Amino acid sequence: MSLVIHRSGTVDRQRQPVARALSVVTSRLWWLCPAFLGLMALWAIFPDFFAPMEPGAMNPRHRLLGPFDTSPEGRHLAGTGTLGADLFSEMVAGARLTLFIAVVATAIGTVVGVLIGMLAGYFQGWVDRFLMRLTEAQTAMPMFLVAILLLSMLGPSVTILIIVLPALVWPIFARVVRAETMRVRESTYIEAAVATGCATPTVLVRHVLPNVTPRILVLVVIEVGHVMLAEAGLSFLGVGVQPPDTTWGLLISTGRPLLTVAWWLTILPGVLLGVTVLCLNLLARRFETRAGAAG
Amino acid sequence: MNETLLEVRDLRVGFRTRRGLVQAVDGVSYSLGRGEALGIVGESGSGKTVSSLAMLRLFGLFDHVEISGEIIFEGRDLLALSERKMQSIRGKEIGMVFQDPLTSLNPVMSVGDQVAESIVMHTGRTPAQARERVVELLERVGIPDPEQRYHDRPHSFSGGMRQRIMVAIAVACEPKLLIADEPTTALDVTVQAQILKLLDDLRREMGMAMVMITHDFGVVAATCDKVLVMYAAQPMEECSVEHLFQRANHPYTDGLLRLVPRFERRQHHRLHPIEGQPPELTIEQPGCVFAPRCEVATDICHIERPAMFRLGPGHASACHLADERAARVTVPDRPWEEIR
Amino acid sequence: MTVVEAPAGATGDAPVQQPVVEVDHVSVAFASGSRRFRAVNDVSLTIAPRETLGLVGESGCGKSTLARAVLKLVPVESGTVHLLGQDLATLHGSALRGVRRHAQMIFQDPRGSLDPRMTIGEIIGEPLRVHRIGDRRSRAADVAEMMDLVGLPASFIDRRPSQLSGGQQQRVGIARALVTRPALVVCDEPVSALDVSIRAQVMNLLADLRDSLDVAFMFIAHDLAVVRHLSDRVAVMYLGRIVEEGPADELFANPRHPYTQGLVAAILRADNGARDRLETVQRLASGDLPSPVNPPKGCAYHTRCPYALDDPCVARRPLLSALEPDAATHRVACHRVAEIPRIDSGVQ
Repeated sequence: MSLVIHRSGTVDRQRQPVARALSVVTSRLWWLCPAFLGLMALWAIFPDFFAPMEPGAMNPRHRLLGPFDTSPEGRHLAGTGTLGADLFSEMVAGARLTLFIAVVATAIGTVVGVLIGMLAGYFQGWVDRFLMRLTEAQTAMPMFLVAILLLSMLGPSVTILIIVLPALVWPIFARVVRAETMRVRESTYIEAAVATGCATPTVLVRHVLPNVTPRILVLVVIEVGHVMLAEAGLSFLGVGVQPPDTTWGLLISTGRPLLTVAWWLTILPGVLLGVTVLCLNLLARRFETRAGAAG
Repeated sequence: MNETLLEVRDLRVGFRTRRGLVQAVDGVSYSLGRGEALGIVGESGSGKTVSSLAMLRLFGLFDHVEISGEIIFEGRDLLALSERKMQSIRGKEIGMVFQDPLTSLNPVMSVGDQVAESIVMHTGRTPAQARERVVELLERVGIPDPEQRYHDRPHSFSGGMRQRIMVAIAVACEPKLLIADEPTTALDVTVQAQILKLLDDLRREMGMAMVMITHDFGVVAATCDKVLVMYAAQPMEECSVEHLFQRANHPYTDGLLRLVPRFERRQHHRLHPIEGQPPELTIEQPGCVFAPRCEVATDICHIERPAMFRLGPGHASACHLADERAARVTVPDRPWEEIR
Repeated sequence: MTVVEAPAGATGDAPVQQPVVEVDHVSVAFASGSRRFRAVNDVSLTIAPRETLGLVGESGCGKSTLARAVLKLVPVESGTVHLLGQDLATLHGSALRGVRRHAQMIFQDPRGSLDPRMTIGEIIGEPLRVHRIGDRRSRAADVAEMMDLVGLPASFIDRRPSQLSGGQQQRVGIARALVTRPALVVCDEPVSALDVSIRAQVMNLLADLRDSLDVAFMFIAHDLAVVRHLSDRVAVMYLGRIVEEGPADELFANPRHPYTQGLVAAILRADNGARDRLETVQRLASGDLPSPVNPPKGCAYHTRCPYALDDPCVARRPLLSALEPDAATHRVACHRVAEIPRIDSGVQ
């Protein structure tokens, strides 16, 4: 007698067309994400190469042209702004600062968060309680409002942004790393390291840190997206980056009053920002599944 | 000899995974009389557990399982039964004791209720009616103060006690066959001996047949009448327990027996390990599955898979050397005797 | 308080004469949730250079805790531990770490004891790096030598632990423990997590290493047969105390404490006397292990002992004393030891 048992009763997510389409996109076309991000990085590094026209070039006679309209300067892929500047070139130029701020702020936040999380998770006791109170305090603070306050008091600048934005991010890392550290701490290889004669800093750097970081890689990518949006928000409110510096957030902000007449001025940079953050998230999801399979 | 309770014929169990078909059990056959105890011995991956899970068709967690062969229990082929009929067999006709009592017992249910569950399900009594029987069972398996401890949860018992509770659940309906899957591996030595004694005593009292799955020949020696040795999903040797210790025939069995540190010997002798590693179960290889590690393998061993050659009543060995046509090969009788 | 330097000779070998380990009335306390109990209770023992002491007992007897106390991996509540002549209580920081070079550990869980993100070469070489032994080239040579000694192919040097089998992982653990040529290696159940056929290979390796290297071993196991195979002397622990101690052959041929007798009988040898031995175990070690949080009064074993009497067994705790005044090496903690019949352990 032959018997074949096929597991039944599980929800087959692959059946539904939308879900299936999405999964195809994420699995087959995922490489588009790093490709797009790579392009943005190139925009940031070589703006002059990619910008068809000079970003700030004012051309009042050809202001507020729609996308794909031409002017003597050439074809304006994204249209022009209130002073005739080519939007596409502005967006290319804006990439640099947008990415720079997002990456650097996230990096700072990561370092601070990992440090605090590791120390809290490893030493526990009063160190843990103190650091966690600190983290909770930071989380409880409405960072956005504080940022606005600080920036309007001290005057907005890129430097201040880079100092303030990490505060949004480090508590998340601190919590995750703390949990991971607590898990790793119980491992036998940590005990083995101590038994071998490693001093505590050595144990932390050589054994805890490498085993804790894989989990946070995913988080880092996602947080870059978050910070990007936060900066856009601040710039939008006018307390972020100021002209002549541009970021996509600033572009969105500048174009807002003209939304009804010149929709492209807000929408296109917005789409660019959105797609970038989406790519980051999809990439992070990809890391997650890969890390899950390997770890 | 008593009548045959269970007859397994050419049982094969395969799991379809992403890496292909994993043949977890590949052609196992044996028979078991009423009240008889069979030990299935093998290392991890040998298929010993899966072959018994197949008997109860406990494959709920797996996606795609292919079982073929026959499992004739009291005249009926278990593989041909509907799931519903199987449910009436599980727990009632065939009981099972699992390896890890911690994960096999429901942590939020009282132990009394867990034992009662089996009785209630199969005999139609209410929990209140079953209670007396439960207390009786708990006492029989050695739980002190069974009346009080009826309501306690598993975590308030020690490992040995939990295993006793598992035994109580398994024998609650006086099944005809008890399957014990490494019931004592996770326990301390003295507790292990107690549990084995309990199983042995119960078996005699209730006239149960038993299938004892283990990697330890000592357990087999203490509780079983006959033994089946498995390796890499295939049966290697089948014989009575007495015969096993007098003269094991199959080189793998022999190898396993020689591995164990001999307590009676003076120390400082070398153990005789089996070189190499067990094979991957997805890859089909020609010849005898043990041949790559076998000390006395001959050419044919690498080419053709040996059948189970009969060596005597109740004794069969899947080895070309057991084939009566094979040339006499002198395998040293008890190699460890020679080492000083 | 002067900082005590690790006793490093020219080659880093420990001095020869004194015992490698001297445990003196040590107790180790454990807090599990709100409950506090003594995992190790007034234990004394010594290990001479090049000696292998086997420490046996079932779960909860304190053997693993004692092993860690010897290496100061857990704090000691009372008593002293002298490691290579130095009082561990006086050693801290870098002095303590310095001593670790001479006292290493092999763990029960081969996979868990290796950092998954390091390569095999890095893992084995780490003790050399930590203690600044040699330079990069000599370390590489030491690592290679060690891998060869434990039977690992040289090609494994760049692999990760997850790519190795259980037996191979344990070999890495052994190599790591021995690479600094310590005077003492504590082995915490080094083979119990391994498959039966691999166990024999690793045990052979340990036996060879023990014979050829200048190392003392503290070998912890719950499997008596394994302990017997590798030990010179054996100590049996129950609920945090040593109940019997003596030369391995002597102790197994002639176990005197009822618990030891029970353990010996419980070894399920693959022969035809196995069934009868189950009866013996039932008699000698009936019932369950009492909770260490609330140990029995007097002799901790009296709840399971067939020979227990109210006086003296429940009344007073027996001390570990020699069987015969001149044979000071075989000691038993039992009031009634003289009256307890011997058992046939089947040992030659």
